[in-house]
Amino acid sequence: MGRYIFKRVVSAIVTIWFIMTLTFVLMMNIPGDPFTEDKVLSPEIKQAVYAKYGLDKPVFEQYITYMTNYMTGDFGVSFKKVGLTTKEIILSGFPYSLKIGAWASLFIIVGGVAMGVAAALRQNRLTDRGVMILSTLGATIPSFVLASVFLYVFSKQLGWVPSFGVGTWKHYIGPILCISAFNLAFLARLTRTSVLEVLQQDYIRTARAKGLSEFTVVGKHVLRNALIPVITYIGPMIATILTGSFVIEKVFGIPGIGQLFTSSILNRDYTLIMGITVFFAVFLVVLVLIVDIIYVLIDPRIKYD
Amino acid sequence: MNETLLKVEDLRTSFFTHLGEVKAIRGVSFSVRKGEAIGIVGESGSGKSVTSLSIMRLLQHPGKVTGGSIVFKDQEILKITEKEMRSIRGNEIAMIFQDPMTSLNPVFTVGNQIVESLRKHQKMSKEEAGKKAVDILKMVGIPDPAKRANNFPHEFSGGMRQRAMIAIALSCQPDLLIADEPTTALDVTIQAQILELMKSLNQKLDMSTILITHDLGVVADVCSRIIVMYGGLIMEEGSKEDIFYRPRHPYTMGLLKSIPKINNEKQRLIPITGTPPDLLNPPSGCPFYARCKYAMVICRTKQPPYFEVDEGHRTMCWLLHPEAPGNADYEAQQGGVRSEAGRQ
Repeated sequence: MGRYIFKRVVSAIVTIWFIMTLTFVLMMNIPGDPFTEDKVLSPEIKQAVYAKYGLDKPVFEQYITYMTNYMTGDFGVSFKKVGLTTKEIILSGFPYSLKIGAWASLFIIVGGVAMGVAAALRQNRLTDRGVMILSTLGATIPSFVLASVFLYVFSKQLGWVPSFGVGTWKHYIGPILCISAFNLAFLARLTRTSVLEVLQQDYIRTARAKGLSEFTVVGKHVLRNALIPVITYIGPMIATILTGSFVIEKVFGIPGIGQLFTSSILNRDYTLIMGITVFFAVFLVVLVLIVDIIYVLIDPRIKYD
Repeated sequence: MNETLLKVEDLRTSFFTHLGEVKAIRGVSFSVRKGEAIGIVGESGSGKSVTSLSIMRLLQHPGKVTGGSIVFKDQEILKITEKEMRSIRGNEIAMIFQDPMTSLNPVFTVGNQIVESLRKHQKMSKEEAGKKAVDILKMVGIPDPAKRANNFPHEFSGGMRQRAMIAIALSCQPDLLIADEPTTALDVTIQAQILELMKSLNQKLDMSTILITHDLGVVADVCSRIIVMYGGLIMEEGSKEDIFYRPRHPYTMGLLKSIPKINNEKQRLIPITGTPPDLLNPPSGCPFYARCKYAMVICRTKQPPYFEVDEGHRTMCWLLHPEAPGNADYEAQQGGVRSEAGRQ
């Protein structure tokens, strides 16, 4: 088990290194630089600015500086937001995305699994039909439409929730619901299919033949097996959700990391793009690592090495 | 010893599919005495597995018992509540299934799966049940049982998994064990071991057994009484000797002829031609009519009643009717089958 985790951690580190290098190479090869738009800059000033940010050095030297700085936790200074470090910017936006993402993830996992199991146990009956209709809607309606409808109904017409900003807990209801919709729908479907498949297995008949109650049969024998594919999906999903959504943050006026990322790309803010990319990558890799470890705990058939 | 443990009377089970009602069992009656081992044989779709699932009340939707009665220890199984039924399942009636590779839950240890029944029915503590589980694994011939109890099913071979299934079934010392094709998925050598085990446990624990199989060799080894099913009906029932040496139903005779014989390699096997009846529209007459060499006019239209050949030996066939015209070939075949089987 220890060996398995060690191996996973090593491969996670290699993955992160690869992503960092790839991001660096891509950034270097995109035409233009952060100061292309400032047409008024004279060659001398441009030279000075380049020197200040180290952009006049050979590519390889820039790469080494970039890698060593990241190792020591120095993400560099933003090219566009003067006086702010990348780290500060990320840490200012991330808590909002994290808060929304964490609640949304919890909502999706609890709600999606519960809906999926309920639908599977009542296959082709009213509960099932209801869940399937909801999940089709959730999976097909784009989040910006959902967000607009939500704002119109609950903010404008009913006035139950504020429409913009991050002041109170009420501000978070809309973003959490809208960011959850698609994944909730998908997870409910995935769980339903998985539970239905497991219910057909011979070992479930064996469990019933032992005289176990339906609660034990479903809660112990079915769920443990049915959740294996569900967990595969949940890991990367959490990473995506926690790192924010540009659309949702824009519509609800949340100063989260999703918005930051998009604007940093539009501004060609090299350090910020790289900072956020690496941040996302580490996040995703860590969550996949956690999923891999949970896997081994839940399914003994998966070999450690 | 002659006490009746299970009495099935005119049992009818159907599957309500979108095509219509498939009448899988169309009136089956038999009984099992205490300590007795009976065999139910028949080809796929004859209704033998559905019979066992009906007794266990484990039929899945869209299957449903539509009539008849199942009395177990003076209790009408079809009328008790689901909760009462659960206290019988795995406790007083246990079941072993066909495919040991898929019948054990892959994510729990073998020990855990045995402990489950013990804790549920015998109200044992975790430690007690754990100890008992090891004892049972030892009884069914698992080497190093204390260690093996902590293994997962995928760490067991096929034969060992079936032993583990038997261990689960026997954990609460049931009065009745239903084994549905317990050896079909196993190698011949492992088959023999499992049958030997079942036979010895049957005697040791004084439990009744219903062995369901399509393999006549298997029932010959274990059972004292045999029921031959076809088209959702019992075609013939009798002692092992009756069925093997004095079969009276053309279907039973056909089954016996299709068994390969080890001492006569050159002889071709004689298959029963044709296919089983469509139970969506079951024939009004004898279900075997279309495949029967000796079929008469009445066989097509009217389902035969049971004719008692000897005590405990009954057959559903018009040929046994006193007014049936003598069929020389049929008479000769009986002799033929008898002498051939006798040579085995």
